[in-house]
Amino acid sequence: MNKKIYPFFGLLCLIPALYFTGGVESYFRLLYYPLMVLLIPGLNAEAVLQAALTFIMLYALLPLPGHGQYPSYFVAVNVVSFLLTAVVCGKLSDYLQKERDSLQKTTDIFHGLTNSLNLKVMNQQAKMDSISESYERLLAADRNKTHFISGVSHELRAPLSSIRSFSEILLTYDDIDMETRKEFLSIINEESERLARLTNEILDVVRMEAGKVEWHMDYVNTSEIIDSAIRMMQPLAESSDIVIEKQVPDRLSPVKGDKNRLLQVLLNLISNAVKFTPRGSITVGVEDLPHEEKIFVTDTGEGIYPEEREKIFEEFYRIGDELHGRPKGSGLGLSICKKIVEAHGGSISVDSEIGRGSTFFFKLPKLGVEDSAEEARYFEYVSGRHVLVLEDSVTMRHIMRLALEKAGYKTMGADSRMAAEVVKASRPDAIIIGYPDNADYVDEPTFRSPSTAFS
Amino acid sequence: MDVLVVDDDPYVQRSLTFVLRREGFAVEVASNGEEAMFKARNTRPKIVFLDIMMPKMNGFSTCRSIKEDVELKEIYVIILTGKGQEIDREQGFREGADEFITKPFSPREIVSKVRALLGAFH
Repeated sequence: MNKKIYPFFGLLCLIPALYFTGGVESYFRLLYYPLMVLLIPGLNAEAVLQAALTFIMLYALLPLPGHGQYPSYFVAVNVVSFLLTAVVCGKLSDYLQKERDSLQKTTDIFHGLTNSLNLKVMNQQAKMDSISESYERLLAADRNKTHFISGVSHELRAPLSSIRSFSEILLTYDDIDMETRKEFLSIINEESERLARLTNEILDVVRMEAGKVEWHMDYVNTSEIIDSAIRMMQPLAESSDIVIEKQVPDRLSPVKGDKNRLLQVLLNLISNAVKFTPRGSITVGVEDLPHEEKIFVTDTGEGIYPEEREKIFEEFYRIGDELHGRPKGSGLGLSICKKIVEAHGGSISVDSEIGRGSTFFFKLPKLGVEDSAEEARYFEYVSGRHVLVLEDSVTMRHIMRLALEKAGYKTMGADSRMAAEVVKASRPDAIIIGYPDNADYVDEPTFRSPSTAFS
Repeated sequence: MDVLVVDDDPYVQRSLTFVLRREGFAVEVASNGEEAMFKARNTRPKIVFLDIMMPKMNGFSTCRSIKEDVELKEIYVIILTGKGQEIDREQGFREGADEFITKPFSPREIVSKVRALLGAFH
């Protein structure tokens, strides 16, 4: 009920009560005041005033029952008793208000508690959610692991099976001719090698996944890595009559990476390219993009179907092994490449056209401006610059060239006898002159001609 | 035809054909499911050794195709695979395989198995 209508409600009840009990002069009225109090909880000063006015109106309105004259003190008693009642009502109302306030406070406290409890529950819920999320992730990881292990067991069984079969055959039959015997032995040999390689690659994958691989990050020159990769793959390519070409722009921005791991990626991509290119050529190169360096291996092989282009980076997914005479892969090579490239903050992918060939490429992020800008500038500045080392001592020349190349320069060496010709032919950016054995050979004006570009 | 060996691994083909031919059985090979179906229809082998993981048509589908074919369903299908998990075994039997052998296998055991089976057929 609304607070404001309490007194009216109380008095409304009082009117019939007074009427039926003998009117306002009855001594019973003394009982009505407490009744009023009971009926009007939460009475305030305003309400008391309202009650008082109403009471006075009652005197005027209600017809007096015919008991004759009031005693003279009656009005005074009435007024006093009313005022007393009003005071009691007020006190009581104050008290009730206080009670209500303290109750409100308690309620507030409870509310607060409930809220904080709710908050805690919500936090807990969030925690539970995150726990169940990580649990899901763990489950997924576990499923992956199970998948990996079943893949591993399947892959290990294949070479193991060959080794067991052929060794058993060789042990069972004594009359196998020499040629077949040799064939079987070489299969056993090849398959044990495959088993060993597979074991290493599995360890590699497991270590990378466990984050136990140490990355030796340094400024790398992708062009040099490509050179090493091509050099190492040359024999294999030549045996398959395939030419490997290099396509690198003159100037390259520096990237940061683990040289050996990047070499591993390139070797893997090139050996795949050789494997799947019956004839033709392979191009290995770098494309200088605004924020990345794109390293690619393009072959003129058979190409990869669109639906297989994603899957080939998965563990143990292989294509084309059914063709006879092809060295069997472990099915881990590309997934290792992917892991390595991703560890460099890059991405690997493939473009392909059936019958035309495929391009595997990975992008390595270039060093940002904020990322040791000075070193980057330095690297950019020196990379591709030619320095001619004129020094008669072969050892000294070698040491100086090594140091300069390590710093990023391209170097040439010459002794003083050859100096003039070499300078004319190569037009270096700078020349470092050691003390010549015979100064007569040095033609002074030739040395001023190359722009000594940096000091 | 006695035996058809279906496996994409040339070395499995080589070892099985070697021992089986040496023991006097007529053997054919296929490198995938499609080729296997083709050869099974043409050569009517009594036993098929079937790998699971093969390109084009895997061992399970090949097995089902054989067992659903009225003319081929009598062929004794032995799944010979590196996939040794219980779930693969169950699926193999569900597709109608008669036997399930896990790699690495012993060629000698394969020979005695084939001998026993073909003896039973004759």
